[in-house]
Amino acid sequence: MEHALKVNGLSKHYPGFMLSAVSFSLERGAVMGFIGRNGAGKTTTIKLIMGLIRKDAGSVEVLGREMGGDDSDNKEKIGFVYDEHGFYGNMTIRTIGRLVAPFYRNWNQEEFARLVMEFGLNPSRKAGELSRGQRTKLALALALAHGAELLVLDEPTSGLDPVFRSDLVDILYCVIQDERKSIFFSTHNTTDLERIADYITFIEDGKIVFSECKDALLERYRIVKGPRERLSACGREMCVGIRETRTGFEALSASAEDLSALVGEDVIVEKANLEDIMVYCVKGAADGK
Amino acid sequence: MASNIVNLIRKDFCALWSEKTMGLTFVGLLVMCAIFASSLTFSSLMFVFLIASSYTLNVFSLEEKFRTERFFASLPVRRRDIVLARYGEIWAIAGAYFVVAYLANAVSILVGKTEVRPIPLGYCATVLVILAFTTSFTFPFYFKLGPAKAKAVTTPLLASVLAISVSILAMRPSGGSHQVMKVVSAVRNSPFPRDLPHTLLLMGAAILLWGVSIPVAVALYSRRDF
Repeated sequence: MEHALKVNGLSKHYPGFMLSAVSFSLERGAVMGFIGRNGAGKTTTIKLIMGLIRKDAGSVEVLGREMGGDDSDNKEKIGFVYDEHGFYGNMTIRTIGRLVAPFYRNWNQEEFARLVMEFGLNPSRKAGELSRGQRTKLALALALAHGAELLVLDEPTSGLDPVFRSDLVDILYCVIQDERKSIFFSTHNTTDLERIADYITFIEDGKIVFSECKDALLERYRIVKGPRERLSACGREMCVGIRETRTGFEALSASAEDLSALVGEDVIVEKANLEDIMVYCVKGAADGK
Repeated sequence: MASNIVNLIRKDFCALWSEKTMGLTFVGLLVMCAIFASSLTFSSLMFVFLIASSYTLNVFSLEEKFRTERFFASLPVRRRDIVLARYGEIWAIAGAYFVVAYLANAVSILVGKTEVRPIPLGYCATVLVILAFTTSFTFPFYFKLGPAKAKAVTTPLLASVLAISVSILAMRPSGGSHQVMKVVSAVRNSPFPRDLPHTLLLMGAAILLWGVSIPVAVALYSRRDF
């Protein structure tokens, strides 16, 4: 199987933070959500993938070619959208498009103009006059106009309203209709990923907690709620993370049936969403699980 | 690769031009200084130094202001090309300066201004050395540290050079020791070489400065984390 992105043993050390042997892979045509709380290592990983910072160890392969050294050929096939879009504020969208165009062999000016219109942007507007959401759309138009096969999005929805976030997911949904295109999407808003992600990679404190199929993940984990006194030591062992109040408990478990059988009839078992999984995994890690 | 350097140069000039006041001021100053070059004075060379310093500062500051550095580093461009483009801009500016200066000089001679002499090659060599000095010392800092930190290092250096230049201009023949005044007068009256060997020597010095500075800047920028 050909991978759009393959990260193997990627490490980077900063004073006070260490990205430790991060490994995962994204197959062609798929969407991977890269989740984790702020400061978990998402942006560092993406910067390492893009060659914006130097790695201490490990390797990155994009569409079968290793990154490192002269990456200009690889970057032809990557569209990069990040949270702090760097455009000259007094340049119009049209001028930015004209300036970026010659750097790509496969730049399609008509496609850029079409995307700009489709995203509701006025080509005569200056970048400095755009809202955060509009700047993200511009970055996406630039990323898509050169026929990128891998889109790397670093927190594109950070600080944006739900309407825009929904718009962006719609746009990405259209992008992935082309099966050659893959998306690697980092966010801490897990709801953005519920609709489009095929795989979820969860990073916490510089380490990958899991990287697997979203459906399998949602199928496996359950939220179990019940009276606190019923939760035995044995039951606790079955939980990934537990939230306790005076009277009750709420826990994420990968073996919910066994847990409910152990705890008794008074428990409620619910499907977990990505946010639950992320929150309880972080909580479990903090509790030493 | 060469086309990327040209594209990057174009990008920086467009960025400067998009800031209307900054762009117009820069172009205006460049043209005025080039016209003023026919005077062949020490102060005309001082303005070249000011233009080079302000260009460097403005272009890197614009990058910092709009955080474009990471964006362009993520494009299919080698970091070496980004560095070479910045030096290339200085050469392009020097080229434009010489073209305007020689045109203005030729026009002045043609209209019969008897006091105007043709601009000698030594003047151009001196301009190149000034540009090489300014950029060779400042660019590696900008590429290594980014504009904010680099300014803290390079501004005192450039300000010192400027202060010395102003002092040379301001010194009166009666002030200072005899030896100092001799040097000051020599620099002020004949700020560029008039013979070929010294001209070639200055050009060699400019090439040497850039020859050392460019690989250093490339190495530093290649190791830079964004």
